[in-house]
Amino acid sequence: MEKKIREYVDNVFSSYENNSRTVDIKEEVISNLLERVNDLLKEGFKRNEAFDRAIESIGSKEDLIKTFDLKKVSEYRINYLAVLSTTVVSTIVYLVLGFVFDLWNPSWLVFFVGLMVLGTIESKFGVVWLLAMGIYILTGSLYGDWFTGLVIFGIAASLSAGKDKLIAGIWVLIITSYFVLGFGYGLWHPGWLIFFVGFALTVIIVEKSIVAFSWLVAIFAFLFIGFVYSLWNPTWVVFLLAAAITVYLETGRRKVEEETNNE
Amino acid sequence: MAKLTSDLIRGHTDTMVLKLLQERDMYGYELVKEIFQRSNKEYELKEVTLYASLRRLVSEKCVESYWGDETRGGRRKYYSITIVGVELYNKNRIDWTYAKKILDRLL
Repeated sequence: MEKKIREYVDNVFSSYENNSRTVDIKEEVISNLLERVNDLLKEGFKRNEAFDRAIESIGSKEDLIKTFDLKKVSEYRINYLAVLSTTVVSTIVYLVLGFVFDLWNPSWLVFFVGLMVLGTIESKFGVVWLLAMGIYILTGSLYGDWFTGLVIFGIAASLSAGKDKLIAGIWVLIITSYFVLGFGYGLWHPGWLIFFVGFALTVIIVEKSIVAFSWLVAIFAFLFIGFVYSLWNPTWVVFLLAAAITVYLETGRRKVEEETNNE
Repeated sequence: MAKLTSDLIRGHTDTMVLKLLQERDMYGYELVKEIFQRSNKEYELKEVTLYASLRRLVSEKCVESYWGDETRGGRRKYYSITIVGVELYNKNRIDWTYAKKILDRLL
């Protein structure tokens, strides 16, 4: 029973900042819950009933989070150093491929790969992303089909969504639509753009952050201008812009966080 | 219990907690249980309401907390009242008696 309660409480707090204060709060909530459950068991309630009643006695999850004034942190929290280095490396590779080999399209895919590397470093589902990337590159180079394989990233995203049913649902929908567009209408391209819609929705739901949003805008702008006007160069500059915004905002946020922690 | 009634009682959570803590140091569930018992099982506080109250009282230095030394199960977080807390309780008690007198005349 203790394990079940701990799991429940861990889950309630899972997407919020995890520091010594959170640990204290969880410990307090858990010990109070445990005592209530024990009382309920003594009164003759069945284990499941006792658990449900105890959980109900806390009040709503939202109120709990609000009461302790916890800040939401994303599971895919962005480390600005990782963002910066990935962007710089992707940009250099892209520029070399572009200027030296005149491959402005489709070598923009390096940014996509960069994004995936970032996902691998930053997400606790790193292995899933790494595997997705491996399968994608393998199917791409074996069959020369770089579009159908994109679906694997949708699957990875829905797996990473974990317990968030809304996000998982969105990704199932995205993958299904992609297959319909691809198999039904032969629109693998530009149907794959739907994945960015998926990323956009995920970001809006999970992150609620300007940083992530600026990256999405950059990607959209880049692909749009690239495909419509064939201006792959110099539109890549938008990524540098997004990286600049990220570094600027993240440094500011970290300072604020450090100050709060020092209190 | 009607929502209005329970809202009315909930508004005095801080004072209830301060009263109980003058008897002895207590931990969260103990406070909820005492309030439930003393209301003849008619009023039960949601734990989150209690946490909010305790947090407020701690920040106002009316209450202090410390961890118990239980080794089994979860560790209890005990709360004890400070002098500031006793003063606040006395003031709230006077305010309540006064408000009650006026309400009795008005209602």
